[in-house]
Amino acid sequence: MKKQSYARRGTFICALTAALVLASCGKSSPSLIGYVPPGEKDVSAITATEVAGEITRPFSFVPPTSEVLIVYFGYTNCPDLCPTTLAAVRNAKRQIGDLANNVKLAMITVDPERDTKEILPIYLSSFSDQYHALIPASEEELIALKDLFQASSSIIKNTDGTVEVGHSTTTYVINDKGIVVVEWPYGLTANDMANDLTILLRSAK
Amino acid sequence: MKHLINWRLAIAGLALATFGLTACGGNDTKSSDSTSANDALSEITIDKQWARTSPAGTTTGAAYMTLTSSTDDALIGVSVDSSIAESVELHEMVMMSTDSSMSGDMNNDMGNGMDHSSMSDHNMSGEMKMQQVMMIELPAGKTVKLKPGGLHVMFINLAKPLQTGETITLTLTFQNSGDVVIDVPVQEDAP
Repeated sequence: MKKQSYARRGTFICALTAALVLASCGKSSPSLIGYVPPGEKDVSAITATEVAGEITRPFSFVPPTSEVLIVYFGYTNCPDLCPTTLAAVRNAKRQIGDLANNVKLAMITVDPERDTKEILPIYLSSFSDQYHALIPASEEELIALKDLFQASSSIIKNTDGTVEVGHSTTTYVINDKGIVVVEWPYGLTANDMANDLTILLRSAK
Repeated sequence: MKHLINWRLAIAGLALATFGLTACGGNDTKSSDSTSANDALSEITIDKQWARTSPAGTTTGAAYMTLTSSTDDALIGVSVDSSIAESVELHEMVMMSTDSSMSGDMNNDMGNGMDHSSMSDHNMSGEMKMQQVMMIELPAGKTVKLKPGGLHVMFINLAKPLQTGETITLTLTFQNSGDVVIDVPVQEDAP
């Protein structure tokens, strides 16, 4: 009797595993090269402060229908990681032709004190013709945004006047439902990004 | 050991003064435009050097290259004319340890990072930051890469933006081989 119970349980576990495997296969495209967050990583809940010229407005992480939004946490005085990643994004967009019209870039500065409304928008214009400059209006806003994306950053002001900035280096790609559909770790190439963007944009149409 | 280094320094200095910089010959399969500091004992090969075109609005910049020394040596300094940047330093990117982080959300990111570990070492934990390095060791025969996300030359307070197509001159100082002057093209992406 006990044996049969185990056997049944075994069958049940097998069936459950198979169902889960199939379900996960159905959900995420195996061809995406970036990391697909498990479950639905919904970032539509809160807004960020966007600056555009003299205008300050709330920005929602839900791009228009059939578009994707790329979000990066960085700072403009970053000489290495930020321009490397943003240049890869720019190059990926160049590779995908007209599909690039449906790709927007947003950068959330982790250094809002130095990255003012005069600086961040023109910095982003070097990497994308369609960008959103997001400058958190308060420490609380920055913390809320980092919590939302599971990003992190820190700023240390040294006594000699230098500023040390640390930040997480993941790039987030969000669909028109406000879901993070893929995350690109630092170092992903433009080719890999172009691959993922093509898959996401074609499936969105 | 000490007198050996001084002797080498003298030889290197003499070699530089006498011969200037010699380009690597065609038998170097990888580099057509590399630069070498050459003497009877040691040769430093520098190639694939480039500096990134400045994005608008930034005052910092970075240059990258590969370095190979035929004998044990070390890159101990770098300098640039003040018409390019106020100062220039050797830097590396390092993963911040959780206890040095001022933010409270590292745990979240650590968990997230673990999922990325198969794709990139950089994502083993959340935050990366730059730190200055005083020297870059060049073990004999080993090619050391200064590349995005790792070791790099950092320009601080650029006098003006680095523009695609320009060439800037960097002076690299080696522990044993002395100064080597290289031309670094400014470009959007790695060569």
